[in-house]
Amino acid sequence: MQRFAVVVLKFRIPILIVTLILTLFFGWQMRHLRVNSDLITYLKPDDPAVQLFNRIGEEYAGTAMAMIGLEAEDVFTYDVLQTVNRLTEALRQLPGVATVTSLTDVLDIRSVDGDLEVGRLIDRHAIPSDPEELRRIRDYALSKDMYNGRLISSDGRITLIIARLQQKADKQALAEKIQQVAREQAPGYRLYFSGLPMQMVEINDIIIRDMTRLVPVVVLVLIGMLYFSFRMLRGVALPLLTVMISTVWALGLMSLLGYELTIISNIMPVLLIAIGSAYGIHMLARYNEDMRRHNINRHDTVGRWQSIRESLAEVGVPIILAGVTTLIGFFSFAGAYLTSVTQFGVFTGIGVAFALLISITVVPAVLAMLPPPPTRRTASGREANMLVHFLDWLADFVLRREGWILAGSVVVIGLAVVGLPRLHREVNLLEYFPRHTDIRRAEDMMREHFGGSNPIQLVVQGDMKHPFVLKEARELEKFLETLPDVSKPQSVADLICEMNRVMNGRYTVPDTREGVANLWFFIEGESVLQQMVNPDASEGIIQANLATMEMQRVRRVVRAIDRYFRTRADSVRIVVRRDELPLALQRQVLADGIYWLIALDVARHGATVPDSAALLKAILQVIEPQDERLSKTLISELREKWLDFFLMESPVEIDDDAEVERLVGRLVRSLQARQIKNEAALSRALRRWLPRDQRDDAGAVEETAQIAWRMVQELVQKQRVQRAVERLLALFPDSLKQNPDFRDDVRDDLWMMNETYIAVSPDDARRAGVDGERVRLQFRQSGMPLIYTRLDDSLMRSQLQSLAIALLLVTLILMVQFRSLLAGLIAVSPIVLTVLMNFALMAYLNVPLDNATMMIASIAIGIGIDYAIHFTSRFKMEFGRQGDGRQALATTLETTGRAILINALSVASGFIILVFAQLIPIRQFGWLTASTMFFSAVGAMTFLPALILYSGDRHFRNHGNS
Amino acid sequence: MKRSLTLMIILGLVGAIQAGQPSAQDIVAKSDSVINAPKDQKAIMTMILIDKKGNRKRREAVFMQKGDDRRILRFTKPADQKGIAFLALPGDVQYLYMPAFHKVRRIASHIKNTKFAGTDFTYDDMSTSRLAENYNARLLQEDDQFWILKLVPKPGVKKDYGHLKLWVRKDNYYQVKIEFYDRAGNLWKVMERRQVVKIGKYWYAREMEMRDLKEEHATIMQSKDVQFDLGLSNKLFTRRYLRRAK
Repeated sequence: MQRFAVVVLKFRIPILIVTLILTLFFGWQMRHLRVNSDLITYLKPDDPAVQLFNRIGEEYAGTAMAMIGLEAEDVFTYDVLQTVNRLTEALRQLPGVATVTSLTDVLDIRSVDGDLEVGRLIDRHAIPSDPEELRRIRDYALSKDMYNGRLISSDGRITLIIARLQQKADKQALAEKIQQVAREQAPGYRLYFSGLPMQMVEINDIIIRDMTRLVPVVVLVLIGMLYFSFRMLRGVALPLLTVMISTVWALGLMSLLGYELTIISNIMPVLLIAIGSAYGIHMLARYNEDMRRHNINRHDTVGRWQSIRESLAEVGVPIILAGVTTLIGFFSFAGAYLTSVTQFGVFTGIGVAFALLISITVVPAVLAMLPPPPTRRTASGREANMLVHFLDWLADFVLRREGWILAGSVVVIGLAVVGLPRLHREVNLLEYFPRHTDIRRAEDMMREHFGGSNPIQLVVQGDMKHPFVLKEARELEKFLETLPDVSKPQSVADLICEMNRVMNGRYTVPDTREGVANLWFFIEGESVLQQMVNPDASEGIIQANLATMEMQRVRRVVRAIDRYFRTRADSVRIVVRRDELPLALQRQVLADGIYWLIALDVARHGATVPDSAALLKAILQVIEPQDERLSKTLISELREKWLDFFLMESPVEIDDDAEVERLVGRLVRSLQARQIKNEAALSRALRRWLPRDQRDDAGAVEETAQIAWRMVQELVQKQRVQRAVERLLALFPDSLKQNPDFRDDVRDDLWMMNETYIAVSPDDARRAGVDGERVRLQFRQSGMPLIYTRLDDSLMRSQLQSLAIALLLVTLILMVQFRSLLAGLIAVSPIVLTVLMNFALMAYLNVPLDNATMMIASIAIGIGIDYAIHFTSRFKMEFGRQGDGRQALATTLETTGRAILINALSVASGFIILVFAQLIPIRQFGWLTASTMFFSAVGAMTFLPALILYSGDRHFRNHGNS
Repeated sequence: MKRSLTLMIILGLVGAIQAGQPSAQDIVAKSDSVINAPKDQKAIMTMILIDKKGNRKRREAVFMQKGDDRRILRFTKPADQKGIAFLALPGDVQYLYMPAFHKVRRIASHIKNTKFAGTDFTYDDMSTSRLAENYNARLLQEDDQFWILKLVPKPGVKKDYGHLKLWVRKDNYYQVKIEFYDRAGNLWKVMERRQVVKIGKYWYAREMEMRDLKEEHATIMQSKDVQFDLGLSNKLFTRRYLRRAK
């Protein structure tokens, strides 16, 4: 160290010049530095869950949704709709916006005069102004699940405009632009901005505001602390210079290497300023002390240099040690799940290294060029008396009452350990925002009216045009709705079901591929499809809303879905014609299938099946084929259908309307009289009653009979289901019985008994000896909530990992330094205590372990250990010099103790400034870290000496100074 | 002053008449009639849908037209859409037949602005070309080959487009290109008729492309086995026939 000191003093001028040049260089680099608050970019790109999430973002533009809520007295007025339309169109023009969905541009599936119509809810080119028309649209929109709670709040006051952003877009900049456009296009309306991209904007604003506000405050506090401690210009200027230069270097290097500041690393400047001053402080304190002791004369350059060399040689090792341990504390974050945490650790560590380097090179170099400090006001200064008295008292107390201190510590440890299980984790981004912020308000609104703003995605891998893949997807959606906090699942299966409902009166997926394809034809090319299936329809997305981001609740949902995937969702199904199955198996598969669907619907309505055995029995009864007579209403429905059919569409052509009417009348009567019981009978009747000129075309007659009979069949099926519904509903309590939605659900569930095709498990198919089409499909979970659970899982792991690494390395270093295992352990003990205290504090004060607070323990080890190092180094030296443990301790407390106190106070006051930050984790991080600084300093000055006294001081016997 | 103005107008009119220059509206009307000239026609049409990423989807249909207002389009490929058929009748009446449900559905008039079967043509675009009837035309410029006209919807005519820009060939009055602009005046879609040949006495484009610039999507329609004046019966263009034919 002596040699190093000589070199530093010799090359003091080049050192200063190089420092200046480097500072200018890195300062210039800093101009490129920007804040990146896109959480998604923090995630480890090689995690399969993250890869899936990113792929969904890319292929379906499904992960980054920027939502604008627009509030008005009544959304369904010309003015509001016109505004929504303008805004929608303006957003669509923004580069990076993939699609925009709003009331004025949303797919609508409806029935017009009984015909299926797929169009837009509101024609954006002809926004209605007629109040009557507006009221009609309002009632219609609010009556449909596709809009109510998705695009419009159920009170009709808030409407959403949803912009899906392209994965590669600069989401933050885009979200900012979207907000600006929204304010321009919709002046005078109350607007809510929600969704992850919007949150990024807010976070970013907050970060920048925090930085510009807090950094000057921290600097001022540091200046105050330094002045109070040293009472001279250089005491303030040199540590300040050290931290500023090292901060500029670290940030400049970050920028140079192409990294950006993140939600986490934005506290780097504050941290570096708070921590980095320590090394300069210790250097200066020792220099002052030595100068005083040697009583160096103003003009005694040789003596001064000699003294600086000595100070540097003696304090250099502990400073380097302290720096290296701090470095370890930060480097221990490398490999954390969030790349932003890793970056933060590495660059803060580098910043610390810079501060350390500057403290032992630039600071002595500058000191060498300055005259010795004036001596009059330091040691005997009145102001310092208080501190000196306190230290005297402390030394006295510690040296006499070591037993008390140790006993007290044991009590504290006990309390801390008891409290530990209370510690909980939180990675919910929303918790970052204070309650009153706009973003929290927007989220509250979203939760209240739209089931939350957190989309979750379930990936369906399989042929999305296959009826049984769609049926499985639909079943999964039903299941999702039974989960707490999950709402509004939607996939292409719902569009198919909705079209089928309009067209055929049942919200089900048709059981044939052609059926699906015919419906699909209507939505082909609709932009909404791109959000739901991939171009070749080999994969689809089910999207749902999650109302909560509270980890325990999210986890419950994630686990439930996983369990469903494992137990309920088959990866291979065999689709067979039902009548090919043995009768018993037919019944069993059908009854099980219907039972399961009904059970899901019951759960969806928040109830449970009262008597499952009775329900299953009833289902087995209703699915038995029976000879059905059509009811009066259905007969007249058939009459209408047949009339239209024979008039307009039947292959046989009867030009005379009266003739048609006569024919239909005869057919209906025969049907009622059970004279027509099948297609063949109908065909015979037609041949008998058709006008002569039409009987001859046998083909046309056959075909006509076939279609006409199918119409009868459809009505019979409808009737069977209707009767079965009545039978089953009787088993349910009134609340369900009278719920029209539930009635429809049961009707749709029972429709299965009319379907030709059915899916069975490969085992069943093999047992029954039937062959069918193998349908493969697989589900996977994705979405930000899932990512959060990964984050949450990894949080504990990386916390423990970095804690273990930091503790282990620091202990090793101390053991090597003191050349004694026990001395190393003793030196490290105050910091173990501190870490414990930190967790206990968090546990008792209900501070969650989150992305910011998880770092405290490791940082505390890195920084807090410094006090123990300085203390033990000095003690060891004094012990060697004075030979008496107690005496050495007293000296150490009064000299190094002072530096430790100043150091801890200045670091703590730097951190405490963070309580003025706006992001909650940063606040908590601030005061918790400040408190750990306090604990570790106190620990180093009370517990540590007490332990040294208790354990005997021989471990610190000098083995010769380095 | 007044006199000179009158003189100028007279001179102008005389000039126009002497050059045999038809009015813009006449050009459009004439070009409509060229497109709609055949009494009837039948062809096999291939539609190629090209998305943003260049993925292509093909479908095939048999196409028949009688006069300028009866059309039927019956899909033959892909297999799962086979049999789906589309019928357009005079008076903006349109039907769709869905074989899987054995049902004929009427298509309501106000969804004509939506895309037809995933193509870039709307139901409206799929009905016959009657530009002169719906738009007011103004000649923008002309060269040796083309008249270039600006078409603005006539008052009371509801269209999705703010205006169109139409290229009409001077030699045969064939509409070879239309640019569709939205109401804000941005270019939205471009239609081109290519491979214009004379088949019998009629001019005919074997290929038609519609590109949607907003959605970055395109549709190419190619025709083969084109036949004209087959004497197709009106009966072919009915709901009955729509349902019946395989």
